[in-house]
Amino acid sequence: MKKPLYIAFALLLSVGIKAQIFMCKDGNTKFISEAPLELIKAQSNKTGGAVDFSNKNVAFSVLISSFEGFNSELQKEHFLENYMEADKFQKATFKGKIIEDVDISKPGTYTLRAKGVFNIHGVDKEKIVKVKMVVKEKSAEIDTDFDVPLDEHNIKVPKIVNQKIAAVITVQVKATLKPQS
Amino acid sequence: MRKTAKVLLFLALIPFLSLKGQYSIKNFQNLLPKKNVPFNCISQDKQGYLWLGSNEGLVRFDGKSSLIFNQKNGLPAAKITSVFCDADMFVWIGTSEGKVYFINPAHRIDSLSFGKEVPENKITGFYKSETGKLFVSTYGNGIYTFENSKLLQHYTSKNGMSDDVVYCFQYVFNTIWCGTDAGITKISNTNKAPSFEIVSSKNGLPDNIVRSISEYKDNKLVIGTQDSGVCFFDVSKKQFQKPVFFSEWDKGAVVECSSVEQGGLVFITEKKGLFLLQNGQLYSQDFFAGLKTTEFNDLFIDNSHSIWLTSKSGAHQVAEKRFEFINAAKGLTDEKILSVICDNNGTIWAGSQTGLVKLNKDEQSIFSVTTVKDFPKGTVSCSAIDDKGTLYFGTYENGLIAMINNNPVVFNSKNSALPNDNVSNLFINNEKIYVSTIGGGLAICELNENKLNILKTYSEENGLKSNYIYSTVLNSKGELFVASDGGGLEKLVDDKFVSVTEGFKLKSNTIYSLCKDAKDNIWAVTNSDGLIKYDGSKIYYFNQKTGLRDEQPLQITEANGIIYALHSKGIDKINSINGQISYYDVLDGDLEPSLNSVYIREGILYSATSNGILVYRVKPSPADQFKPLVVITNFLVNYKKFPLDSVHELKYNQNNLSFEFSGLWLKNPDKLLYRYKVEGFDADWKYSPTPQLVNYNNLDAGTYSFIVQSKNDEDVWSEPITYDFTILLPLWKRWWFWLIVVAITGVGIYSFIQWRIKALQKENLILEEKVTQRTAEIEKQSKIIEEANKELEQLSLVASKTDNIVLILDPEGYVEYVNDSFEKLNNITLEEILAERMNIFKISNSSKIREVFDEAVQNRKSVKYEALNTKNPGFEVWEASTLTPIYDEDGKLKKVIIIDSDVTETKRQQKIIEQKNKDITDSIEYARKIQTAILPAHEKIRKYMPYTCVFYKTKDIVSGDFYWFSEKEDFCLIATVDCTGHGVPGAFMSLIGYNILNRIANEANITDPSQILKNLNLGVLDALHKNRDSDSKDGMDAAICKFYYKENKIEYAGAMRPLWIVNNEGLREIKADKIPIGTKQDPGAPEINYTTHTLTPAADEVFYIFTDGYSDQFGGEKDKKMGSARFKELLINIHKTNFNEQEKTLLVEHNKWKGENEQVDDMLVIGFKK
Repeated sequence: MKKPLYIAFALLLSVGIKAQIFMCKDGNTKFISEAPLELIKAQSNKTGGAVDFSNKNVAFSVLISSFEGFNSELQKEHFLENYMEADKFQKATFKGKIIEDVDISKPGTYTLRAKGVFNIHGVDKEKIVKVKMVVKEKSAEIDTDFDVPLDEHNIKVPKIVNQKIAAVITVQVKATLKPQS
Repeated sequence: MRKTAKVLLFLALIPFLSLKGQYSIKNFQNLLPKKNVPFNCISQDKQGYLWLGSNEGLVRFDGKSSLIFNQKNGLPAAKITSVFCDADMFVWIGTSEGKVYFINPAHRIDSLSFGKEVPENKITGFYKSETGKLFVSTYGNGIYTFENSKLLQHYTSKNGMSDDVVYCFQYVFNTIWCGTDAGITKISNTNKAPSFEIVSSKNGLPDNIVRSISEYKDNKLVIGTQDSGVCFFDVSKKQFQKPVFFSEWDKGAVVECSSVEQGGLVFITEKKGLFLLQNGQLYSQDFFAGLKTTEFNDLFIDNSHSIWLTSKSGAHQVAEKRFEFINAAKGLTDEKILSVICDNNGTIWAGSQTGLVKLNKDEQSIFSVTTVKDFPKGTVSCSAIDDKGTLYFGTYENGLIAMINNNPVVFNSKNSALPNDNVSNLFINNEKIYVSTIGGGLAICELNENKLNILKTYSEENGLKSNYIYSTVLNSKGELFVASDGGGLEKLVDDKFVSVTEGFKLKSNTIYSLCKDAKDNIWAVTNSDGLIKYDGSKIYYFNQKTGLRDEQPLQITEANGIIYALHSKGIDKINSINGQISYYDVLDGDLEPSLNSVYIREGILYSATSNGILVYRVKPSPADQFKPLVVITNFLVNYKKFPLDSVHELKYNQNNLSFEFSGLWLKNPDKLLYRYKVEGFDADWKYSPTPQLVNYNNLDAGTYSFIVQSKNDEDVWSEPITYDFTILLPLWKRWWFWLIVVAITGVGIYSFIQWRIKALQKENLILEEKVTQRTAEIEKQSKIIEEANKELEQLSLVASKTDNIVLILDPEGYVEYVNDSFEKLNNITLEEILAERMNIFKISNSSKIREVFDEAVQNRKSVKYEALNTKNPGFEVWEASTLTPIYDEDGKLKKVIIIDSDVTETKRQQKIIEQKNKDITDSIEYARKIQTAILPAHEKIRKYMPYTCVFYKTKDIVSGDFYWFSEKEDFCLIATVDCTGHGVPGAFMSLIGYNILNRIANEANITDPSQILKNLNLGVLDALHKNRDSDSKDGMDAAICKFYYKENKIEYAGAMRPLWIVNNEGLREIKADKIPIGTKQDPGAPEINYTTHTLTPAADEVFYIFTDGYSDQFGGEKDKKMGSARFKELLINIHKTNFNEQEKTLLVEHNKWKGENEQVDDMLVIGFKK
């Protein structure tokens, strides 16, 4: 992840960065589109994330253009340029807070929910996502998945290809965060 | 805040969905003009109107029509996220932008101010306490409280709330329960200082994200959560219970939930639609066939127990139906059902032309249809069940079939001596089977060890009137009644049939259906007499006149005292006791019931129809008995709208009233009926199938009540709405008015009489006074007359003895009296005059006597005249006469008196004077000619000074004013001179002056204006010997100008007379030296000198020199001198005009000013320009 972006998403956290902030630059975000005529799986290993254990704020960000694994270059081009308009809306972000009344600063495995705003294609949508978090002393593993209805984010898919692209895509995020150095 | 009519949840237990799957689903996508507008919230007001909030405004819905509130009528554009109707009929609206509006009962829209504490997030709910405190919940800003529209408090997670995101808001058990992202916040003591308590996962709440809270039975709350489905909270025990269905809940967030009757629960999820939890079963949206979406965002139970849902495409209503049709949609292959029955297991057996099928309903209320195995093919026409549960089916051509051990066993004419194999009807009583046949009469049978025993047969051969039997029934006494085609209604008495038809002389000889009621009355459907009730001794008729919609219902049956008559239009329900008929429509088209195929079991009516099987819940639930509402929407007096309740007392001429009414029955608004009347006017109710405007015209004075009710499809009438009003009598029809009139009239008459008496008394007094006065006057007159007589005597003495001639004439001019002088002068006596009846017009010496006489009479005054008396030749006498008319008291001419005086000598002297005057005047006239001759001619002056006017008007024949002119080679001199006095003395002075000027200018060649005046002064002094100590005050005032022909120069000098220069900007004056001509040089005093003023005239300047006569003239309105100011104003006005015109104007204006006055002085004005 580029350094400016690293700083930028860190600034997504409304609170100043403290010692209890765990971060990553190389998280994995996968999206799956399962349509009658085609299955598309693409992923990015350049997902940036941060969790502030003091106030439970979370933030994740991924560059749209960093997704790979499309079935063809043409498909990738359509995806990036026509549907996601990556030139205008470079990133997909999630900024929110873990809302379970649980102390996650202690090592353990937690099934939590984070509530926040998911932004993709320039459209904000509030979401509550389930997160599985494994907290260790020097790392925190995040595993979450959620559905993104394309029409909620104004992502328009031409009718001619609506048998190839699902109206609702599944997004999975897995990341291992380390304490901020 | 969830908006449920919560009080209704505690009505008597209702089988809300006892007929599973029997719902009508209505999808409303056109609540707004624009289709598919997302709706977000619903509430219901006290009147019954639904209020729905959408992304494009607020809608008030009555089930049929929408009243829209949006930007166009004052509700600012916003997404409405919450709506709440309070007990005062105020509607509170919350938006996605955190704004709150409210609409009052008059539909005025106002907004609520948060002051500085404006929420940034959407409004999620409202609650209004009994004391009027308003609670507003938000999505991210906690809760606000208001009182009288003023912000009281703001509660957030910092001061009591579990979280600032409040999803829902419910007032239950005297506590406000708020669902938040961090559990439930309980707010108690809402009327005073609220106290907060948090209930969360720490207390056992399965999921801290609480999306909905609703009241449940047994002091519990039902809670919808984000990911854990639904749970229940026992408020008293403070314990949570989670039904097993929700232990692995994967259907998404429970957005809204509501408890329903009998411990049921409905809830909606974010993506998976509507669910029902009832009787231990969880039903998904499939249970409610017809809903077009699974994404709902609000749920509401209205006051008739219908479920309302909002979604992105509009609103949806789920209402329980009292009936359902089992037809092809539910799996029935042949919809034309001829027979139907329900066995003890709840299985429905349906027979048709294609055979017999069984219908079983699974847990999801889905029917499975199976053909009955081994059942003979052919028409199944009827069915019955005995007390043991054995089913019997009548067929065409296959006789009677009994289901024995689930196997069909045929009993027909071949194997059982059944009289006919075409079975039309079956009736079972006390294990006896009454088999009606078409063509074989009636067979009474018994099933015994799988064999059918024919106990008895009845046919035409043994007493029945017809072998074509349609129906039979036994009453409680065991009396058998038979209905047949051609035989009518027959009753078996002592083993013989007695015709009821013939006994009561019914028109019909065909009876189609029979049933009995609880009172043992027999009900029968006839072919010509409608529906009849036979109580054993009397026939009661029910037909269209009595309200029956169809006089030949093909199915009749009885339950709970109600006769159900099914026909093509629906179901007519006849109260078997009082005969009142009500209706129930099941289809918008024809019902087409099959003859006699109706069966009631456990409160459910099953009817075989050509459209499948009608399953109808006979027993009404409390929801069915819920009353609709009716409102009076408009009230007009004399066709003009009045606000409701604004007026109840009307004048006599306000007697044209109109009422518009409408009903509210959200479940089935099209099925509302109305009745109305005006008590005091209408004898009976009037009925209407639709809301309408009714008019009552020309109502008489009186007290009335307009009453209106609506009735729903369950025959439940609403509470009546009444509008009382009184039309007052006109004033003149009120008894007290006439009483007052009579009283006033009486008082008036009495007063008039009293006044008249007093007036007459007063008149009498006045008359008496007058009499007294007149008497005094008469006495006075007598004295006057006496004195007059005395005076007359004296006058007579004077008249007779005076030297003047006195004549007294009558009004015609005839002489009545002459005095001695007349007699003497004219040598005639009075007696002679009287004898000759002489008339003055004939004897007068004046030729103008007639004119004089008339003038005197006309003008009522004396006229003097003169005449020469030549009566005595050589002795002519001039008489000066005065003719005086005398008038009486009435103004009428009474006498004319002429008094003549001898003025002969006077006349002679007058002549002499006249002659002398003439001589003098002639002299003066001659002098005028001379004076005029010496004055310079206007033409001469204009020759040297082309632009000149000379206005010269003398007072007398000769003048003291004159003008002088002398022409030289390069210039000329012009002067105006005013000599002392006017008339002859002034003329003499003018001559002196004129001559002196001529000597100065023409002989001595002195041309400087000031030198000319100086020498003039010396000359005048010399001429009048003034220097010789003469005290003569004669002299002259003068102004002289030297006018250069070519050089642009004018020189002026004045003695007492100024020079006025007039131009476009006004008038300026060159003042003269205050030394009149004729002033003596005092020894030792400075030498008398005059000043020459040299002027360079501008092109527009006009110069004026003048004497003082013009401005000294008296006149005008106030008879004053004209004065310099007016004179200046006149010159300013005329200076631009032609100089000829100026002369005329000066004359006209002078005459105008002078009026009737005399000219006071000579006038001279000279105007000129370069």
